[in-house]
Amino acid sequence: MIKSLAAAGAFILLIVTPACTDLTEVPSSAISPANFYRNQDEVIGGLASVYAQLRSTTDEAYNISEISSDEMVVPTRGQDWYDNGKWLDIHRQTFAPNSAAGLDNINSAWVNMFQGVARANVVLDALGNVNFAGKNTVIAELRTLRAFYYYLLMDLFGGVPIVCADAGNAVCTGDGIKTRTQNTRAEVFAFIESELTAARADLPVTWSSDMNGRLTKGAADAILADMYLNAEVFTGTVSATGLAKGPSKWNEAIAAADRVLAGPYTLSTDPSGGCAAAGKPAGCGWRKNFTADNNTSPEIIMAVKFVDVSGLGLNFLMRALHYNQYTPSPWNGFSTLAETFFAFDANDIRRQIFLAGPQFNVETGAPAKDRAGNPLVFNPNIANVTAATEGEGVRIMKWPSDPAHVNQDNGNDYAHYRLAEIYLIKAEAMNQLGQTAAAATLINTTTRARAFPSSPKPLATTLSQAALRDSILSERLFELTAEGKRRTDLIRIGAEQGGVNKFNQLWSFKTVVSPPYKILFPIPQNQIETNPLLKQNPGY
Amino acid sequence: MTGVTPITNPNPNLKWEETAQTNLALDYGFLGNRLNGSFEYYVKNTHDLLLFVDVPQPAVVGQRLENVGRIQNKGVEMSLDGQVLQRGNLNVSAGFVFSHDKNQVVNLGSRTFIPTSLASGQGQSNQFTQRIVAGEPLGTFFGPIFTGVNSAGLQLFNHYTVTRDANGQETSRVLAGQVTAAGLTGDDNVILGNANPSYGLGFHTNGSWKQFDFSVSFLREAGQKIFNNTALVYGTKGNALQDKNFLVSALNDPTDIHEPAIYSSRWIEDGSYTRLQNLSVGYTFDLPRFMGTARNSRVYISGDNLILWTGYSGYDPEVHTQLPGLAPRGIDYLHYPRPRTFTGGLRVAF
Repeated sequence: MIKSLAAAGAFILLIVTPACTDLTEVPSSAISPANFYRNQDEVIGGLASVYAQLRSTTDEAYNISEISSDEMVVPTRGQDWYDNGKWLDIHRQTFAPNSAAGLDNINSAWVNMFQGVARANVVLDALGNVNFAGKNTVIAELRTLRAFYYYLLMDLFGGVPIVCADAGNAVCTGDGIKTRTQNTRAEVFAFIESELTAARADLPVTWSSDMNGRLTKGAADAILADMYLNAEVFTGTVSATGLAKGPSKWNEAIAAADRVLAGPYTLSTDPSGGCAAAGKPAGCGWRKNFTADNNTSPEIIMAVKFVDVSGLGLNFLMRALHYNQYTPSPWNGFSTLAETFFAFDANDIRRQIFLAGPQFNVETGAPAKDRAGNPLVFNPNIANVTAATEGEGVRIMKWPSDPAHVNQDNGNDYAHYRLAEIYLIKAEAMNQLGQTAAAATLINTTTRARAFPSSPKPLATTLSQAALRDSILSERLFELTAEGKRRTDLIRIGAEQGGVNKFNQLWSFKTVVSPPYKILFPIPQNQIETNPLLKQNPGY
Repeated sequence: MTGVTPITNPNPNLKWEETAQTNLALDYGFLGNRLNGSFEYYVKNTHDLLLFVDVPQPAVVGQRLENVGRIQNKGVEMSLDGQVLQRGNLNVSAGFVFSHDKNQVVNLGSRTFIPTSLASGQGQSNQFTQRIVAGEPLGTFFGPIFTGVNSAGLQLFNHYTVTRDANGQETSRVLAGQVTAAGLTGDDNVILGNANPSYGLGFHTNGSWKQFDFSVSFLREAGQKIFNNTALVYGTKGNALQDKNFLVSALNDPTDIHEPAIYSSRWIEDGSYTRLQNLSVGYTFDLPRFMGTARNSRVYISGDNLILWTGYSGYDPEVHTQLPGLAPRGIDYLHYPRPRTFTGGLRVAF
């Protein structure tokens, strides 16, 4: 009896054993695209994740754009901020596929922007099985968001793989994780253009205030206007020796800008709005674009939403302020260059973004001290960028502290596009078309009128076309400092003027003219490792 | 509004990691087993390793679990034990254990490297210190080679001129002098050694003479490199500018006080060591008759971690790396030193 039981046991084991290699698991609680996005709420939930990824546009994509220009530098301050040399690698434009910044910040920018693309694709791919009122608007938002992530990728890296699965779009060769060759920069440009043009029809003009931050026709047009303004660069060819320009699209830029100008936006000039500080300082209407309540600025066209919730806030203050100027203790890093600070007219209200001279705690107003206990003074000059002191370098505080901030998370939104820039885009395109006096007048009656409320400082309408071009570059600096535009501006206007591109020229702490191919960032070596079909950008 | 964010990339082709191992072993004894021991040779090939690796973008997150590459471990282990002395009341036996393991990443699929092992400390954000590289063992340190300090107190590192073919493969590498940190490029990072010992050797002996008994054991590991992360961060005078302490080694160091902590070969040290792991002596005796039934009692004293012979400048070269990332090895950051313990006792048996 016992023997036969043992034999039976062995038999059962023999049968069971092969099944042990089949460990297919059917998780009953996991969400996958196949069992989700079944109704409007779930689709909107997915859409929210694509919007949420916009917050990462203020991380490394923002950092590499700003720090590689003459707007920002991150000096090494003793034991702080060396970080494998990546910050100075960016500022000196020594970045390469395998350099400190190439493997780190630049790689993060690539990954973050493509994650936005991927999130959009996940939801777009799943939408075939669901119908609800307003679905076309959601599709338009997803396509616009994806186009915007591609816009940033095209701006930073040039040609990248276009990945989409939309039936009926010939460029789209399917979704999913696989190795791919990249499309040319001009192809990416055409893809973004066609996506935005198609999507804008289904986007609303405005949203109700509880939907603040969702995309509108104005956002699609603003991206288009910006892209047309840079068309010569974006549709051109970059080689090791520099940029061969593509065709200009100045008229298209003006047309797209005009569509925005016909929309529901006005310059924020109301001095009663958004001015938390006592006494309503001059220009607080302008400041309304950056304060924690800037969600109600009439000027903002496309913004990244931040809220004062842990992990969901803006942390620009932390990157710039001294350790003793804020709670929690900031990181005392990002500074601006002396020449950029001094380029501002003393009467320009936009100069208030800088913190220079004796410093205070930005929350309490109490005088701030350095770590040794001496009064903290921000000195515009950084004597040695590899060994800077605590107080060297003027700081940018364009987005003031949110009174309701939660630790490092501030609820100030970050505008990718606001009306002031649209005026400047239109004026620049007009000047390129020879309408120089009208372009100067447009700037004088909009951004410059607001910037000098008591003693106007208009641009001369008799300027030559080339001189106004330079004035527009400066005006864009004054209006848009720290808003992620400077690198693109220098490259565009440098390309217009020939010779050494403005982006490659010398400025403080960048003591060598960088090679012309640096107008594109390298494709990080980590990305080529995982996708060997990617071809490195020329020159690198 | 509730947002739903994908957090995992799919990988429908995932499969089990596979390991094939070959062992050749021999147990032997001579002279009526007065000498005995074993010898083992092994080759262990693991392929389709399950690793979290970067995926081609676009993807909803940066990495996914994939079957990547092949790793080989091969080596020998030998032991020999023997009755050294057996004469009258004197009894001594001794033995040793020798091991040698060669670990090698045979390939990484289409990849040529995976960065791993982040350095810790101030000013070290995202500073990878190791790379998993095909043809090299796990725990391979990767960074610039430190050559000295210039008259201004700045550290100098080897700088290379590298040429590449159209596919980005390195075709030549020529030393082009030394640069300060400001001149370092990605091409200046090279292999700085690895954290695996070339051999391990254990020796133990024990014996007795009349009522005395003793045992001694030594352990030696040699050839492994250690990244002294503690020294990197605290062996720089700049800490003083922040009212922080620093290691005494920095006092006479010519490096300028404003020079930041820079990861390089300077902080990669030889971790070879020999340790007197344990020494114990005992005395066994019979209690006097009047104690009743007590008999065969023993008094002993024993010490652990008594002597460490090493050139390593940190507390202890036997480091246990607990860092995130793939297979980090040989990194010493603020480890609590191994204690030296003494134990004494009296055992009375009834």
